[in-house]
Formats: sequence, C-alpha cells, structure tokens
Amino acid sequence: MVILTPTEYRPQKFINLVIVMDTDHVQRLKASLHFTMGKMCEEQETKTQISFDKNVIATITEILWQKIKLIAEDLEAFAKHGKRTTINLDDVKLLVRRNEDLKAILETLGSPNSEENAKIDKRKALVKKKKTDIPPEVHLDTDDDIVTASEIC
Amino acid sequence: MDNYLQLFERKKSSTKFKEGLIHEIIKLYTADQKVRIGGEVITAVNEIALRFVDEILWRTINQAHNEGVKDVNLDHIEKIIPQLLLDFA
Repeated sequence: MVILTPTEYRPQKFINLVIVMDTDHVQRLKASLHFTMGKMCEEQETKTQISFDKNVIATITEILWQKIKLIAEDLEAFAKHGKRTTINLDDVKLLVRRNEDLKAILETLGSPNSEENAKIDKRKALVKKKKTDIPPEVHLDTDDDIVTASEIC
Repeated sequence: MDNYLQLFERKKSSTKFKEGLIHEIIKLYTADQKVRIGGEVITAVNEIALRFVDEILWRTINQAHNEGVKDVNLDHIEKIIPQLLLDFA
C-alpha cells in the first residue's frame, strides 16, 4: 500500500505509518546493505581468488534483510513477553539460545559491565537488609600468589 | 579442531555495517511504535548479523572451492541455505 500524498503534505499522525510503508526508505536501506555486502564479498575475493556473481550478492542482501526482519519481530515479542517496553540484552540472549557459539560471543559482550553490576547489587542488598555500614571492598588479587620466573632466578 | 574464536578470526571480514543501519532496519519492522531498543542490543545484533554474513560467504566459497569452480553461483547458495538457516535458529 502506497500513500500518494507528497512528502510535504503528510500530516503528523500519518508519519509513523508512512515510515513503515515508504518504499523509498526501504530501498535506500536495502541499497546501503547491498553496498556493504559488495564490500565484504570484494574482501573475500582478494583473500581467496574466488569471485561472486552480481545476483549472488543481491541474493545475500535479501537473505540478510529477511533475517534482520525476523530478529526484530522476535526481539519485540520477547520484550513484550517480559512486560517491558525496552528491548534488553537478555532478549537477544534468548534469541541465540540454540547456537552455542553465538551464546559465547554474547557472553563476552555483556560481561565487562555485568560483573560490576553484580557487585553493586550485592552491596546494595546488604545495606538494605542490615542497614549497617557498607563492608569495605575486598580486592582479591590472585596474581600475587604466582611467583614469576624472574623472581626466582 | 579450532575453537570458535580462531575459526571466526579466519573468516572475519574487516568491513562493518554502517553505524545506524541495523538500528534503522529493526525500527522498520517493530510493529509497536512504543518499543525502544537498548544500547547494547544494537551492538549485539550487529555482531549476530556480521557473523551471519561471514558464515554465508565462508560456506559459499567453500562450496565453490569444493566443486573446483572459480565463481560463486546461485546453485552454491541453494546448497548452503538449509543448513545455514538451521544453524542460526
């Protein structure tokens, strides 16, 4: 379905609808994706001396487009299921639950923050329960135990 | 057998998607306009999409190479697709 009004005349309430059905926007995004695909294929061509046909690149673009569409719909459904309005990293982790390698990659993405957050949450919980002083932070530096070769010789 | 990190290093391409591209596409297809997308989510989905593309390219090149052909055809993609889609859930 195409809305025939020229872009200047679109009243505010229709603008959200139009973004979904606006074929120009879709075409531009697909073109951008296609361009990136072309660059990746070129890079692989220089590495392996095997070249890609034009229609192959277009097909890959289309496959990726559909894949991202499915991802978006799934993520939205997961967020709604969790009664949230924001899509979380947990939703993405649910998305890749069947693929071991992707799960591992997402673990590395989440972990730098999640350790600190876990510590902060623990300390907060302690304060709430006992309403006493916050226990001092204990830095467990395990590397101290390891005797380096330079120290022995 | 290489662990997954080494395998990915071999296949990895250095080109990345344009900054907001994935974000824009996801926005297109989320039906409910009120749903917002977390910051880390975009990075995560970027990673997933990147791996997906690396995997397609790698498998099609493998397929063409095994057939001894120097051009990747649609036939090679046809042979790759079922296993690929199953692997990516």
